[in-house]
Amino acid sequence: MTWIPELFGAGKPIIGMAHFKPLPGDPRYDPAVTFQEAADSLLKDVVALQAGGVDGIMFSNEGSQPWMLNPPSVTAVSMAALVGRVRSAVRIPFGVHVIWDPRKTIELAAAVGADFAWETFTGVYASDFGLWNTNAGAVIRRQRQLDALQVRLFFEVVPEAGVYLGNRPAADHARSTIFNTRPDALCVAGLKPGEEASLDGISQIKKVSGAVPVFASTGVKPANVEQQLSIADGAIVGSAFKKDGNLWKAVDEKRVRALMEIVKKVRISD
Amino acid sequence: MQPWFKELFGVSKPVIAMCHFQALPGDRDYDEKKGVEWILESASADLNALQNGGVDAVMFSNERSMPWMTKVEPVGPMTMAYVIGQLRDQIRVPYGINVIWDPTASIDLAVATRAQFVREIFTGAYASDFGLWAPNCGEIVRHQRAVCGQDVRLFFNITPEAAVYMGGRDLADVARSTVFNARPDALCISGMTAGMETPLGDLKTVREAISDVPIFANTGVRLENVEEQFKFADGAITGTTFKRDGYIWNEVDEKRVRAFMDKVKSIR
Repeated sequence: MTWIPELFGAGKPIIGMAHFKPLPGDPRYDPAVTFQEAADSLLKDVVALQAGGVDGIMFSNEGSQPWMLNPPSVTAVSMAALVGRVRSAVRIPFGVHVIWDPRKTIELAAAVGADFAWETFTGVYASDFGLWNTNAGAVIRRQRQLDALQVRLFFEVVPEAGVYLGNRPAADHARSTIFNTRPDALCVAGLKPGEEASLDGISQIKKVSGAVPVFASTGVKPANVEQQLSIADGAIVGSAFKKDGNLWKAVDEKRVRALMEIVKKVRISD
Repeated sequence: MQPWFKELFGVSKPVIAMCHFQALPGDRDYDEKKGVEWILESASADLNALQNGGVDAVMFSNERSMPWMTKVEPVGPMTMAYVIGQLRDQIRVPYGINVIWDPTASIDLAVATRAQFVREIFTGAYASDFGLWAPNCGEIVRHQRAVCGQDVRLFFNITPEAAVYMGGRDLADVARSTVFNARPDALCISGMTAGMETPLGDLKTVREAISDVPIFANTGVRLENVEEQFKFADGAITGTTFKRDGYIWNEVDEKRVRAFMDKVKSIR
């Protein structure tokens, strides 16, 4: 797990989400919003997350609902342009997440020089998005073709909005995924953004994950962060940092700082 | 001339200068040691030299992604988008996009970066160095609408480089039916490759066939021939002549840009 403190400068790192508003091609895209306005909105979130003290930032197209397993290229190309526009303000490690497309996520990471990427790389699920299949071998070969092997990959092994076909125990999935695909980290999600992963679920994975860090990837907030980090090695946080805890609102620096104060105490006692 | 043309460029006989990208991730010649940062530095230096030299517009293209593909992998335009996003504060002139040779990817990148125009091959059927080449204009333009890119001006290159129209169709006929069927915003007429002059006869042929759509001389325009080319062309898209020693893979030489633009200003 040494890469975690090396990259983030802390144990139990908190990665704050920088969500994109709907992008060109998305159902709720508003062409009246200028590039500058879109960039300013993203920049404000980045600045608030950093000022509030998060350890990393994850750029993700939360506004592209309903999400696709193979979104059109214009989605990731638009993300790249906006990441480029705010890049000079980013002072901490950052990752990307093109929901739910591992290949485009890797390509975007290579294009923008991201430190890490988050996706569902393995498994087969019945989900809100239909039959959700993966092909880790092809995706990781693509990563190598792009000279991007340095990008750390966060594998969501318990994804949102779906169930492993055949009801395979998550711990088995985690164990074989670790053997077969060598993830840099595992993520455990709740049912949807803002809903916490079950402690028991995280524990099951943690018991079999060995040296691979396990992140709680949804629903971590001040009320549960101490408990979640008593088991998880870090967290990816979105909704809790937003104004009124509402996923679709802007990041509120005070809320970021409040959660990070608790995290710092957890780290000291750890 | 169409009102949009004057509005967009602010001059008659505009000169659109190529801002060529270095090889991108995934390309054969990508330099993984120098990385994307070097692509950015290189594009930034060329952009500034072009603007300081007085060009009317720039066009970003993946010139070093050779051998080119007629359907690109998304990582190329993603990298271009990231770089243009970083450069956006420095851009002071209208700008366009050419993701060689993929019209749909070009439109996507234009929409993502809010570029004003795109140059590509949108029509025709060709035998080419890149294999059988037959874009589907109807599909492309419907995609343009789907991504809310209706404001992007489409420059149709109707004489693609490194290719021949299958069946040897007459250029005047191609120009006339393309204008009727696909309503291009502008036409581009090219020589054999980047840097090779467009035959004057081709420009004259298209000029005589088409009166209400602007025509660009698309390759090989330089100090010595610009006056002649502008007899028929409404503007030029220029790359090679702005590079040090007139060599396409060198960096842009601001002195060469200024000398060319001084000549153009004396003509218009």
